Amino acid sequence: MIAPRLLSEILEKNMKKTENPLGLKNERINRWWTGEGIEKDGEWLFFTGMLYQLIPYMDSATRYLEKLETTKLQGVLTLSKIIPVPFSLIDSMVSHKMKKRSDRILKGIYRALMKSGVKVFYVPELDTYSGIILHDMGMERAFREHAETVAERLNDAGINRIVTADPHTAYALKILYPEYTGSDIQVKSYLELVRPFNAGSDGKFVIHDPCYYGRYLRISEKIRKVLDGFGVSYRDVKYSKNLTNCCGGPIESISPSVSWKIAELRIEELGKSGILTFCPICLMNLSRAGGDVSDFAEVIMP
Amino acid sequence: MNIYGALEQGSIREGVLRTLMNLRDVILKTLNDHPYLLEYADEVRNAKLRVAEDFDYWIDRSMEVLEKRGCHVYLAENAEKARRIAGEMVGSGKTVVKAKSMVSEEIRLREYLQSLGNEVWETDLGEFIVQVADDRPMHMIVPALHYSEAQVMEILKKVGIHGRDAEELASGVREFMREKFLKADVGVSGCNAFSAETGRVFLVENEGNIRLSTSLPERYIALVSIEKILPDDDLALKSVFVQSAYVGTFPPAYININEKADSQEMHVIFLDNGRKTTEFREHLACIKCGRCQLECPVFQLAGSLWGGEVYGGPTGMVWTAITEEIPEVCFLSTLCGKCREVCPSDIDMPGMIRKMREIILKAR
Repeated sequence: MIAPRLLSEILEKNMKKTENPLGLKNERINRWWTGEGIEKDGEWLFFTGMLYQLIPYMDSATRYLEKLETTKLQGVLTLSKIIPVPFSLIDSMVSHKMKKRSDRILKGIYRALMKSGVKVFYVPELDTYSGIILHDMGMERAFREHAETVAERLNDAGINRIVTADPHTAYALKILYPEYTGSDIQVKSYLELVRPFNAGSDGKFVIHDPCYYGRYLRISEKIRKVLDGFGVSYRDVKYSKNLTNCCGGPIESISPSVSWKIAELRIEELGKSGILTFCPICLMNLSRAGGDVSDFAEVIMP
Repeated sequence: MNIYGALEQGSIREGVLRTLMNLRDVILKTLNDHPYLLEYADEVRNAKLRVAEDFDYWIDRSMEVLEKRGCHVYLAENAEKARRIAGEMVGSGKTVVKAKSMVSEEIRLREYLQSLGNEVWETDLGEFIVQVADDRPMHMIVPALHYSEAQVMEILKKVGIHGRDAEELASGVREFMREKFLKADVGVSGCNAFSAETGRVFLVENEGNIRLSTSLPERYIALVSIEKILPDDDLALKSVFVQSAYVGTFPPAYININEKADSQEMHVIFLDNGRKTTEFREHLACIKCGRCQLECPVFQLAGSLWGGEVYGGPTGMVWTAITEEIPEVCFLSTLCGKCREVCPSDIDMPGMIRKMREIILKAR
């Protein structure tokens, strides 16, 4: 296990610097919308929460931390308070292919919303990380401060409806922000807004429900309806919907090795091929454990 | 062995998954066939939380009822005091038969009584295996789930029990235990539910060992952690029904309702050990069925090694925080929420684990 105090210090520092846990500037990692002809005004603000964009970097960081987790070096680093993750190095290690894939998924979600007749718009300057890792780490003060900053920014911009791309951001904005900031913005996942169109999807899938959709937000049935509407062929495993099993992703930074073993457990149940999911963390972690995983947006990509 | 050892070894993972596979469908079928059990679970949760709001009142009431019935009653603030009280009652040079009890693990009762020069035997088959192996219970209800039949065969040889398969081994253990039951001076049990109305100790089991442990010896000690107190018999019975359903053994083979018998000296030790003042009060509604343990991904890999000295898994994180200290390994929880989803008492364990993290980080 990576020392929690060390990790929390890194997170806090990075969040203060760049508003995301890896300390990467949003404008550098958030490029999916360029050339997309995005609307600047409309009814629903598309808010990605930067999670898809961060995934390629998290994947590299996790591979690095995995080496650190089981060495004695960590103890030394903990004592010396040297930041053990060389982010500049991680940046250079990031897979270009993964970056492109993340961008493509976000384009897919945005286009699917457009094609569904949702008056969606995007303002890159308003889009930022939700801060949910601070909440999960028990960094309450830091989470509250970040949430207040984001909520105020959205409020100042007159935003009253948000559509999200991933379950973690959806939960943060829909459930936590009202509690921590008093925000009353209406928040929906894109899966609650898309209407079926002819996507020409083929292939048979096995569903991996993300925990936040299955349990925390309870929209698994809605997701099945969307899949049926799109004519996607799928099957459920025993542990699905509200009883879905975790992909291990949420502890990827504190313990890459346990996280990876949890993903293996899940893969044993799902099988390696044709896994369909709706969350960047699940996508990364199940892929890392050898699964052939598709994001729903890739399947219906207009 | 630590968590990383468990990841490498794999036997815990196999054992937990095997147990889950054996029990899961049975549990779901039980709840489907007997939907009233879900209502019982709600009633028990609410009653436990009500008791927890005013422990002093309910402890006084329970002690009064027991004294009127001729029991010897004690209140131990912590593990050490509970151990000592039990030690004074047992003395030395005695044979003690024990029912499986996590609270007795919590106060290290077996080890303490042994250190006083007593012969102490766990009479639950799984717990007996754990005792002989000098191990720790890997699950609250199925303590030896991490051993294969071949491993059990080897372990039991240490006490001269031989057998070619599980059946022969179980029969060997029964024979071994029979002699201990007959010569036992003291019987010790925990408590699944306690009725403040009548002073009755409710215990649920499937092997029959608790019945023998608590009825044959002339002296009986019941160890009751204070969150087991329920206002009346009705709720205590409902509580053991719910526990048995969520363990996958409903209806249970035996429900023991122990009270003072004329021919027996009965001692009841109430244990606080952090419960009265804990900030994780919601967790006092836990009935220790161990369902969340089997369903938790981290527990599936590491069993109770992911936890404190005694309690492990999601419920074990909180029990450790209540009875020992907040375990730093709470940071390994994925907060996936499965524990709460399958919990009969709908306890917000992920929320409490987040709170524990906050406390740990604040102390930096």
